[in-house]
Amino acid sequence: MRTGFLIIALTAAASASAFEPPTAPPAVAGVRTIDAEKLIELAQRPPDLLMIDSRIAGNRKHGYIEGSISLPDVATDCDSLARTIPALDTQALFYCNGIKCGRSAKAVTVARDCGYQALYWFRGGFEEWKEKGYPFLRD
Amino acid sequence: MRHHLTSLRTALGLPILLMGLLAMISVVVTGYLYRQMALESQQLALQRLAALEAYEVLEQATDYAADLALALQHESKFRRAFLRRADDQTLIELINDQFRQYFHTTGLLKLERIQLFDSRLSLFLESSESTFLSRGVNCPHLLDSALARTGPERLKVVSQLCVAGNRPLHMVLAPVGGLRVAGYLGVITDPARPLRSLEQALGMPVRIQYPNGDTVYRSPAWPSEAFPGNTLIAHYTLKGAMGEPAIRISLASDISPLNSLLRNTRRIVLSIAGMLALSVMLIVFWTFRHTTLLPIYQLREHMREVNRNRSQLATPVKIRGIRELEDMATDFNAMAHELSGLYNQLEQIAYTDALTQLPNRVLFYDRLEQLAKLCQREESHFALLMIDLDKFKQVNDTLGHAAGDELLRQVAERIRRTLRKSDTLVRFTENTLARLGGDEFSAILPHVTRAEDAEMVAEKLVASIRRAFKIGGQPVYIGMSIGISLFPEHGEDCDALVHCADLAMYAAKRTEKGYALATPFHAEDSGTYGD
Repeated sequence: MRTGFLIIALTAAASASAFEPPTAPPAVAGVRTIDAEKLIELAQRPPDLLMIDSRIAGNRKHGYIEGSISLPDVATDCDSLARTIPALDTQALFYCNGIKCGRSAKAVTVARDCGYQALYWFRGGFEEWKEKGYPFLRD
Repeated sequence: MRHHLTSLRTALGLPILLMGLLAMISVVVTGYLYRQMALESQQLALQRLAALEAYEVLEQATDYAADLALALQHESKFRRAFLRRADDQTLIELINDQFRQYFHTTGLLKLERIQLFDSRLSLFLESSESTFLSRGVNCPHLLDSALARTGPERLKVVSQLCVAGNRPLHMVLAPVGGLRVAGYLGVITDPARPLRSLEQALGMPVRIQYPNGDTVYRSPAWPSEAFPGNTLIAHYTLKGAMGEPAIRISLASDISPLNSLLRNTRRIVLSIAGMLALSVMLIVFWTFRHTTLLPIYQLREHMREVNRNRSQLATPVKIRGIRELEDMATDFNAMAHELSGLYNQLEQIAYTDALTQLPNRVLFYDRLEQLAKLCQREESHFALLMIDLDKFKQVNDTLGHAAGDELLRQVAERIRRTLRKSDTLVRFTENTLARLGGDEFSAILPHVTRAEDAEMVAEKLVASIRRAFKIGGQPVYIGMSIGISLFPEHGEDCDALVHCADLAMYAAKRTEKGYALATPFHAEDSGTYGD
């Protein structure tokens, strides 16, 4: 009886890892992966950089990069992107909470598939931004 | 005598006592040093704690100042006015308003001044609200280092402690304009205010002082100076950008538990050390007493005994102690044995007549005196015989000295044998008969108390001598005259007794029987009888 419980418990523990949020891939094909400094550099020189916050809107009360627009990954599709990004060649950057967060990777993939050409992925996300001491806003 | 005993013990006891004392002193000194070390390390730990907490508090203050800067920028009115830099009045109102807003009023930050800088970090506007600060740049080093930055670094919030007009200041520089830096907002606060929270964070009284020593804050529970022993005070000085002292933080830690712990430990250690020293002393004393002291006393007692009574030389001393002392006793015994033999030999020479082996005159008088004293004490009697040979000179002259000597030896032997035969009366002992010199002998008869008995012995002696002697194969005839005196009838001292016997002996020479008892006439002549 006890052995049975043990086996069930072990199986449950092993399968639990399958439900963990996926770690972001190291790169997304057709998209430039950048860090916080590259982000600032892009933001400070023309043409304008459009920053898209792929997290759920509630996360923004803990802080967001100034100038970013909230478009959660779950709501990201070609239509919503078309409403947000003026043209297919507009410089657009996606970020979420960090490398443990798969949302920006998912969103930027959608954007790529929708035909956007100047895409950037800030893989480190808000975690890296805050860690490095760059200023952020809170809602 | 006691003096030597004491000194021997003292010689051993003092060093041990001193050692014990030294041990005690070292325990006390070590305890003191340990206490100092413990206190020093605790002081160091407190300093580290103070430093850690102070930096955390300042970090927190920096965060609050950055939040204030962000909150200010959030207002589009500010942003517009700042970017256009046309509406200074609005900007001043907005920054002055911060002195009535959340961060200042709740005491999270004690605002001193808010300043606005352009992107080249030139001051162009500052709040008119201020407690003491003069207008203008207060922390130039912060501005210099902020200006030296390039690229994304310029977006970061920087802060610094500095000193202006003997007052510490905490300045935070936050960028304005988001990712495109248009200028900076300087938030200058009094760092002493948030540092008060160390009191709660560390749970101990805190005192905060300016560089000039002015106390700006002191916890209500800050200890009075009355009990310095129970409080450990640690100081930590926060330094400004140039390493100048900016704020002095003092923490007061209650060390009375540590003190009592140290006291108890010292008491226990001292007691243990004391008991150990005492035990060692007792063990050493006991061992020393049984292996050295007692054997030495024993040896010394024996030597004294020998000194009092030479006959004890022959008695060996037996001691049990350390090997050296036992060896010493063995050597002493060997020496004493040899000495004893020598003494006996000397005595033999000094008290014996070489020719006849009889006691000589010296021993005879000694014996006589002892006996006289004894009899005087016990009121008993004895008889003295003075014996002189007749015709001995003729033998000596006609047959030679050797024959004379041989005759004397035979006479001595014959008298001795005769006396031994009358043992029931005389109770013959070796010292009873002596040769006084020449042909003169004497016999002491300690147990003869009556004149008749003495005369009986004398008669036997005279008779024995009248028998022929054989000298060189020739018969030789001689005679004997005996004078008898009795103690105490004829004298109470030896001289008188001997004199009486001598006189009686001369009288006897004129009689036929060969012996005569001393008479009152003889005694009177000796000057003692009838007194």
